[in-house]
Amino acid sequence: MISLNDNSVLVLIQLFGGNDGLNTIIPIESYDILMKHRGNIMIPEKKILKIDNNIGLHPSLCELRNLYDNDELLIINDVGYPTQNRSHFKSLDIWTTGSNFNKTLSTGWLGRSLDLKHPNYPNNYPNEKFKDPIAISIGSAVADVCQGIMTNYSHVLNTLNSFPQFLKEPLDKQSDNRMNMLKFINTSIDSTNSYNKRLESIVKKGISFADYPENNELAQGLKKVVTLLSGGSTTRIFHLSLSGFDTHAYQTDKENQEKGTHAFLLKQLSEAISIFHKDLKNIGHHKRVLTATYSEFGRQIKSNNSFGTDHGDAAPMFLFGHGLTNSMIGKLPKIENYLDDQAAVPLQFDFRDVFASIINKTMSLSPTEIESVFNKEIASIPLF
Amino acid sequence: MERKEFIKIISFFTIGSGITYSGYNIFRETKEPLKSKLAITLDQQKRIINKITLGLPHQKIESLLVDGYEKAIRKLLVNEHLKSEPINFEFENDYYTPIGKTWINSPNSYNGKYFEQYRKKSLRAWLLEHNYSNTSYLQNNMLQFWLNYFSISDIVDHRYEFSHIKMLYNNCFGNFKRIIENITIDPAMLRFLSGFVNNRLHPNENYARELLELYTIGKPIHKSDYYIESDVREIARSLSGWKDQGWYTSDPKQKVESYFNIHDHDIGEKKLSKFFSHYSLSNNEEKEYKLIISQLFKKDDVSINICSKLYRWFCQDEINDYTFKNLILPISKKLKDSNYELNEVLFDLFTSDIFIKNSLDDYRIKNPLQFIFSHLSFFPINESKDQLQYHQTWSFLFKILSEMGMEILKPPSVGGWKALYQAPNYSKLWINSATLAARQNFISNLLNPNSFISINMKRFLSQSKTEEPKELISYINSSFFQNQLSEETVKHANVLLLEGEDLNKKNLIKVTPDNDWKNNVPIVLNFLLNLPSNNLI
Repeated sequence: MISLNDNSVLVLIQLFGGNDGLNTIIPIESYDILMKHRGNIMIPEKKILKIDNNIGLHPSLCELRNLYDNDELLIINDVGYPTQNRSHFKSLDIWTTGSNFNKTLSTGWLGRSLDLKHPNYPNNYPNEKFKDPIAISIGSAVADVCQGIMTNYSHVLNTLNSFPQFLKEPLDKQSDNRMNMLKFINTSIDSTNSYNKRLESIVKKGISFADYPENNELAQGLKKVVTLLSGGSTTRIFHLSLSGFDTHAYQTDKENQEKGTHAFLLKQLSEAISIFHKDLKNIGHHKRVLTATYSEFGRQIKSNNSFGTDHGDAAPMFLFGHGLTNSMIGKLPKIENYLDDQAAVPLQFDFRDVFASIINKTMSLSPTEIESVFNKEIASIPLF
Repeated sequence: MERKEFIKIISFFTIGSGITYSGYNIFRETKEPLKSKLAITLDQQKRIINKITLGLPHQKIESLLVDGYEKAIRKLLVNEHLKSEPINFEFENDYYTPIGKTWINSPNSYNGKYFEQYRKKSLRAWLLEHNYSNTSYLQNNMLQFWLNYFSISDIVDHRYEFSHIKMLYNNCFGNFKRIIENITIDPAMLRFLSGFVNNRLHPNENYARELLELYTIGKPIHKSDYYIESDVREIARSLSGWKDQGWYTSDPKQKVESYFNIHDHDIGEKKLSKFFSHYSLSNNEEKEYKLIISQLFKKDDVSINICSKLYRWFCQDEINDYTFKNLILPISKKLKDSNYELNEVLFDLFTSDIFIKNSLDDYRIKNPLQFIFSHLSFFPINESKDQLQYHQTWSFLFKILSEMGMEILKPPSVGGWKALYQAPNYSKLWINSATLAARQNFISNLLNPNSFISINMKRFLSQSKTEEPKELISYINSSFFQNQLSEETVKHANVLLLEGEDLNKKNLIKVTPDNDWKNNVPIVLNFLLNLPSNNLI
């Protein structure tokens, strides 16, 4: 049983663009039918990393195979939401806000969860109890999923080399649009100044052991997470992203379906996660960190004629962590012989139920609180 | 239409920033946009002009406004053609392009060697330099609007990027429908959204989806009467067969261009949904893209979408119901009625009461381009006479822009810069712990006499025409900060100017320790330009 509690850390990795689930976790029993629908991008059967007679992994995911064997990987099949929207932007809005398909929300589901824990944030933050950023977004922009009512909880971190201080501005009392904007900048500066001081001292103490490849940006981001955790950071939410999954054309090479954009990206993911896990063990934090991937949609079952796939519906999610007792939730998709042109994989699980089960474990929120975050009845999914 | 009735109809449908509208017969009772009856001061006119242009030099704004605001807008709306071209400023091994000459018509490779690395740098430096030296100041910003509107990214044959920029620039204030027609078969776009591999056997939906969602109709909304998934596919089919040529060519005669290949075209009948009145299109080969675009342009949504985006680029992040009804709808109707000619509509936009009032009331975070060019257009810069160094300056600025979160020609997605569309933060997204550092770094460079882009303090003092310390602070406050600095800030700036500051702690400017206040100008600027106020426009 995974031992997550009040001390646990959640790492979210966004796979931007819409990951092709059917070439990530390949349902081998439907292989012949898939060859009919997407023959030009199918991984040769012999090259698939077979977990059993039906579950196959893309050959780029060899490191994940080891995690699977060590009970450190959980695959959740066909995650999405009802009435799937195939626009990147609308679908991403739904995944980040946790809204219904016909609603627009301005806060992220994680931000709303954090609002329950930190109702006054950012006033009087940092403080004795919460010295560090509540969430950290590795990269150059805040994580939309961390948007709360008052502000976004994620502190943006793109380098561990410098932690400058910034100048605030005394403000007049009047409250107009200009003053509100200045207040926003002042508040950003306030928190950046305090967090930068704190982060600088954490980074001095922090360490990472593993060899993170230079050309793997996700791995470099995860190295920062390890450095911070080993240096004593009490931040419990990290957000990272990997872009390029919008594989409309040349998802695979023409001649070699094991190669191409998708193979490259999955390799980046697999390699980064594997090193990260190894290093978490090195620093002794592996029991408290749970990592989850998400993507705005899967892709259509039929490939197009340009060695790619167009926007689809549901796709698998990965969870990584120590001592995951389950290794797969839900059935692998069964592909029909006859399909509409734009058919995609239907959902088995609502992503909100998946995230609800995750934050139930990692954030100690009550079922009522979690239902208020997602504004829906939560169907419990036995992830752990 | 009565407001009540209007609100009843708008129900729950949304566009962009949460504005609601029915889309049904929406132009029926739309009137002309309200013309400005507001009496606005010269300072207010300057503020609006500063907001809508990019890089207009401080000294030129008064002469532009000499005949009044409306005439100034007319002058700014003159559509110039692109005259300048990026050149090879440093790379010695481009077989076809000697240093000092342009590479836009020469092949991207020779004998297995590729030239994309230096050309990437050269094109980006040129784009920034062009913005600096080109005197069509509104067109400069409009070009950025279009680059954001279509948001091509990662096109590694840079001749394609140049031809894309040139097409957009030359059509900046032209005909919107023509721009969409051009962009549909634009070689860079064919590459960017997979049009070049959209073949008859199974269409590639990439471009068709964004054509509907971003470029014409607008975001998909959940209602019964809107475009549906099959429209995406059918439009993709009608566009199949368009290819580009010249990609990574080594043939000196091969231009970058698009062409139609009938063998890759889906000749079957295409049928659009109820939303497009069940339009059906039989095989029309290379004429199909224009026919299908004509169908899209029959919908009111198209002009509402572009006009909303124009308003948000030039004025405000959010469009309230009043603005939507009294400005966006009227100019959208006018755009559609005029067969999508933009020039007059832009004139109406910039001179309308609502635009002017909201422009004056609203403050946003300067986007990184605005941040950089607000300084470069106000302060005299030490321009290097050395050609190589001059071009390197712009390469350097490209890097700084990227650190500020705006790598030009590489927006994060086809939706463009998030700060232009992502509620609820919008322009606030330009500010975070990482980008604050990049902005601070830019200011340090302006004040470091050894940097590529340092302010010429002597010329700045002479430009300010001030003799007294107080006058200088007052000049900066009125001309650069539109008199928005607080008393406390002005007071502190005066003290700094008279007394200086111990700079040993800061790794900035070395000042000769004498009593001349003029030597303290960099110290004062270091204080003022790093203020949060300097991030607002």
